[in-house]
Amino acid sequence: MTILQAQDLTVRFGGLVAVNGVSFGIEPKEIIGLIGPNGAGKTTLFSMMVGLQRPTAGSMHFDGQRIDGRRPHVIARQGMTKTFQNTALFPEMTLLDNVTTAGLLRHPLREARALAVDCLDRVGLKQFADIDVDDLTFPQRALGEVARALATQPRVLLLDEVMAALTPMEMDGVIQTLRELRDRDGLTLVVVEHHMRAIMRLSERLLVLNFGKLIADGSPAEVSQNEEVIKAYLGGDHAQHH
Amino acid sequence: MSALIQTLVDGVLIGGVYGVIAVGLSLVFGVLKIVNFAQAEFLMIGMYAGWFAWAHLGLDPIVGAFLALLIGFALGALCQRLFVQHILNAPAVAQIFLTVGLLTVLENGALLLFGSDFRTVRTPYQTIALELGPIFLSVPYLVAFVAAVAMSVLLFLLLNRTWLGRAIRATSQDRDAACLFGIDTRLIYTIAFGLGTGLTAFGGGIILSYAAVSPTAGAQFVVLMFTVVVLGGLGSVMGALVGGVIVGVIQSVSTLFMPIQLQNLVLFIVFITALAFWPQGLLGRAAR
Amino acid sequence: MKRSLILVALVAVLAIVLANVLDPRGYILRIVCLILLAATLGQCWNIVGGLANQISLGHAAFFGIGAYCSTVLQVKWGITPWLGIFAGMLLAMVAAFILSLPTMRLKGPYFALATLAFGEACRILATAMPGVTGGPQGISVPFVGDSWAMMQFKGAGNYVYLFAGLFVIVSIVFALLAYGKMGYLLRAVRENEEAAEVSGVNTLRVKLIGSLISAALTAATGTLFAQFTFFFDPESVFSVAHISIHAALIAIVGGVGTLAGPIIGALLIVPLEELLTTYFSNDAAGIAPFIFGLILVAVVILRPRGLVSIFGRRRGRPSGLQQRDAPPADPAFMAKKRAGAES
Repeated sequence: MTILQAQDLTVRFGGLVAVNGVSFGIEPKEIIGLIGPNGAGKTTLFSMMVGLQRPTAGSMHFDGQRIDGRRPHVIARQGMTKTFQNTALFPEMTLLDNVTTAGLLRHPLREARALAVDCLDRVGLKQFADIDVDDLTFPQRALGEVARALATQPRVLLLDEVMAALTPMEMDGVIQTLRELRDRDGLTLVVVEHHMRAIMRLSERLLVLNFGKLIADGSPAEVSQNEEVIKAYLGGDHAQHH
Repeated sequence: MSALIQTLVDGVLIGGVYGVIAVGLSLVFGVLKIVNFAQAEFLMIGMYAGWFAWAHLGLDPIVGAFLALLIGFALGALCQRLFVQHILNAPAVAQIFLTVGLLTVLENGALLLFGSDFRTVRTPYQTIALELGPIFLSVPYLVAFVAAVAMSVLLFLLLNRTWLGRAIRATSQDRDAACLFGIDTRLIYTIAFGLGTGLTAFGGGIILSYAAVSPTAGAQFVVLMFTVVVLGGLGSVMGALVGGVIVGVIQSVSTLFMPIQLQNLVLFIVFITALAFWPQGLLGRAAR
Repeated sequence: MKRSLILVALVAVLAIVLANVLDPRGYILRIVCLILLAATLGQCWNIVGGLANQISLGHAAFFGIGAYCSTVLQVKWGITPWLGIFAGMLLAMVAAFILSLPTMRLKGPYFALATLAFGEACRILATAMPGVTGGPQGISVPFVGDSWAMMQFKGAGNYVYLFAGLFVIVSIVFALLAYGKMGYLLRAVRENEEAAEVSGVNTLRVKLIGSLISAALTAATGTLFAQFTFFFDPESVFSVAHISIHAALIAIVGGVGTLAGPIIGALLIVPLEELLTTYFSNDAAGIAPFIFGLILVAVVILRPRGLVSIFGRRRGRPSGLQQRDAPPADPAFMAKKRAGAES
């Protein structure tokens, strides 16, 4: 039973078509990589999926229910949320307060705080709970966003470049954490990432966007042999990395 | 029917003036990206400048209005340098309360300096009206309208045909790029702000023949000015003029249906609705 | 937060002590009432302007609605202000709701402008309905002498209890909003609406709740004001300068978004205002607002970030959520969660 079904999603900003007739279905517990050159429309697609952007055309169903055009908090309540590419933690709060706020969606204050501590623990940031967001490094903030998103207890989590600025070892750690989220908690993940190595290792399936269009949908092996994908990236080398 | 046409004509005449009064607001927003709550006080300052020019120098209000323009420019530039400068990048709260504070200072400053009496001018053409068929064209309105149009043309030429105008437009579109091209953006901000307040002061000068001066004269125009600018699109000069005419007509025509005190009520409702549903106005940028 | 609550309680107690010790018809008690009134008004504004960061320049609308509602009910039907005050609060909430429909998504200065227009619209309406409100001539609370039932007294003495009471109530409401679940939600909405929405916060509803509560309490303050001054007109209760901007000024001078801000602001501003009007009243009308305008400009210039950062920064955070108090993960809760995940 597909958990998320997108049909001909299109977003137009005046004359610019940012997302062009994108259709796909996602099964529960999949880990899907969303890749494509810069400006391909990945972040716009994410914004549409969580309700920050209204599609100009097309539809989206979550668990069989229509969600396009609904407000983000409604979609969050249904079980889908995302992280922000340039991190959007609430600046004047501590990390814990940030995550607690998200926990308030489904729990009263005390439980929300407890849940927040747990989420921070999952991403390895528990010791930074009381630190003001301003004092965190960029990678810490990116992970902080993941913790906050987790506190809404989602079923589908959209991750927008959470591994930027990480060392290879840290990246392995995050990949491990993300896999656990799927294996232990049954989450479905859609991940946007520019680090090819990371995304190839993490994803079981890849969606490739180029100029707003979905040009490939398959396993990493299939996709890396796909001519159009190779052309889009203008780099035959990438096709060799798994 | 002729009553309707009369109100339409009056509305257009008054509206043209509203346009010039409000265009300064648009300019300030377009270039400095701030909403200047104190703008209407410069109208009052312009009126006083024009009145003193009439009382002590015998200048006709339209001529005095040019003096008002200079005074409004100088005072505005000073305010910008001393105060507004500091909050250009500050949060909205700071912007709002700085200009609200300025509004209060200017209005009460005028009260302290000039007292609360209403002052008026007397011009030879004050009570004359031209007859055009069934329509009366009030000469003071007409004269003010012509002055407003003339000033609008001058402004258009300034913005589009001079180096300064280009610099202003460049700064309003992309400040950093303008800087890179050697434009002293701080100076442009001062000039643009001064120009904006000067234009509003000019508007004050030209309406002297039919409006009375007092320290609170500006306050009555606050919401009106913003309605003009929101309808026309914040940041758009052409839009301000079109918006002005629209507001003038709405105000004028509404007197056919309701008591004069409620005239502005209609305007306020139009304003709130325009902000909510039509934030980009006719020609300009978004208010959200 | 505890310090602020103590300060609030102290001020209230001090006021009541003075009420019993000083001459009830004296000048000082009158000032005490005005201070409490100003602090209450400022605190009401603080709820939306401070906690929700929705800068309102139209709070006079709700103040006037409260004042007129209870007074008209008294004049026309002899209804006691103890009931009239609730009618005013209800009417103000309806007005706030109606206003929120077109304005809820507006940002910063545009929201402020819309509220300004709304306040002015209310003033014009009140002036244009002489049948109901007495029009520009104003309206008077019918004088019955000392009466708790009709909420009016001959001297300022008993009014202190009323004002102190409302002040404490409004402060408690503020504290509940700032430090509980709503505190988190309001802060989130204030700092990043998009992120808040995506994290499950219904931003429009949070903003609406804040504005309804603020409107109702402002109306209550208006009713008390009416009972205190007996006579008022549209110009005075719907005044942009003396009510709307004043409310904001008091909160700002004392510290926006903090519990103690408005009382500190009131303690500074009200005596200053009295001083200025007494010494300069005939020669220089307008001296007080002139000085307040300068103060406002000064506060903004000297601490532009201070207007915002006061409510969030390390010391003196209004949502003084003592992170050190964050309880460790509740074991029972965690066990339940793990059990749930495994099934």
